[in-house]
Amino acid sequence: MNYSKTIKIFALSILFVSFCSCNKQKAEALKVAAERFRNEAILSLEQMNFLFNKSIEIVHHDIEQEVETVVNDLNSIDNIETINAALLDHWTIEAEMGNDVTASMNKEFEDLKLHYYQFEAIFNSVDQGNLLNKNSVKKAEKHAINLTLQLINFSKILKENQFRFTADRVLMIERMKFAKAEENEKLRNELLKNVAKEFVELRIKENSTKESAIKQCLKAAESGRNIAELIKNYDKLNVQDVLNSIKNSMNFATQISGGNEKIADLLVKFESVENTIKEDPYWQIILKQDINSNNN
Amino acid sequence: MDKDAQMIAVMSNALINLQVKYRSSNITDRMQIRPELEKLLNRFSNYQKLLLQEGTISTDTDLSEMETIKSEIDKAANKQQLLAAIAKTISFLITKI
Repeated sequence: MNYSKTIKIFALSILFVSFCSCNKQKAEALKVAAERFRNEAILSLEQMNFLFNKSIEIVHHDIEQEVETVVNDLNSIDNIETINAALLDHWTIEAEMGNDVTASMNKEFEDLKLHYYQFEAIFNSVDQGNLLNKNSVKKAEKHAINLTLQLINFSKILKENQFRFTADRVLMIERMKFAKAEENEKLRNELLKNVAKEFVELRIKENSTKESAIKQCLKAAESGRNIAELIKNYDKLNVQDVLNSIKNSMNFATQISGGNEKIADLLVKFESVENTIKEDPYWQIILKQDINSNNN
Repeated sequence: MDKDAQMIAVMSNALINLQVKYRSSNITDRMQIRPELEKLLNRFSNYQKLLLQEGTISTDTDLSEMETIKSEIDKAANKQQLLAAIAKTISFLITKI
């Protein structure tokens, strides 16, 4: 083999391997950003799922209470003929009431989670094909933006609607009525004071759970915005730029969960992110069809 | 408060009040109230699902598109690994010449 040709092939091979290695680090950073987006998004959907379930929750008895109810019911029945299959059916349905509704709600959220899992899966082998997959990576940009805007939408839905812990409120009303019916004044006042305290605690718990879910949606939206930006500028950034961008985004997410900023201020900030995305000609080309169809 | 928020608030209170009534009733009344309670629970749950769908952007088509992108990237990874292996082999062979 010609000596100079051999040297050229050798140099090119070394260059190829080292170029792969440098791009690989950048792609690995992108993969980490995608994983972070998935983690934050799944957590936000789980918190939302919990809130939605709590607001449609039916009070369920434990076994001991169920036995007591059946005994009380049997004692209250005058006509022995009414103890029949329909009555047993009623107790069965009563014990399971709300389970199918909760399962169906969980399914809604599981379906939503699939999208975030699938998005992250796109990047599973991105580091191994970093030189040949640029066009495909670019195609993921639209989905990063849609999934981000979706989280901003969810945070607004949470903010605008109330999510009461239904079953807890039912039990609270029962305890209040019980306290009010106490004839001994001293004991009644004590019971009322306790139940009032429990009510305030419940109200605070409802609010803090909702706030936490909103913040988690915004944290997830921030990591989505981050990966959308990384994909957009992927060719221009070096490894350090990518790592810095992820680090800055993580710092911002930490600020969100730190609790110093008010939910209303955070939502305003993210509305501006949403508007920037929707009004930026660059994003508009990518999103045009989706945004239009969503506004219909 | 917009229409959705008002509706959610009304349904939430109705569900709480009806449960309180249900639980304090005797068996005969409970058997009569139960279908009403189940109906309200389903309506409330469906309304919440609609609310969720209002905020949803990503569709089933998007999900399939993401699957396609993933398989494209996986294919690129396989090709590149093969090329890298060839390049390494060439480098190795040349050092041995």
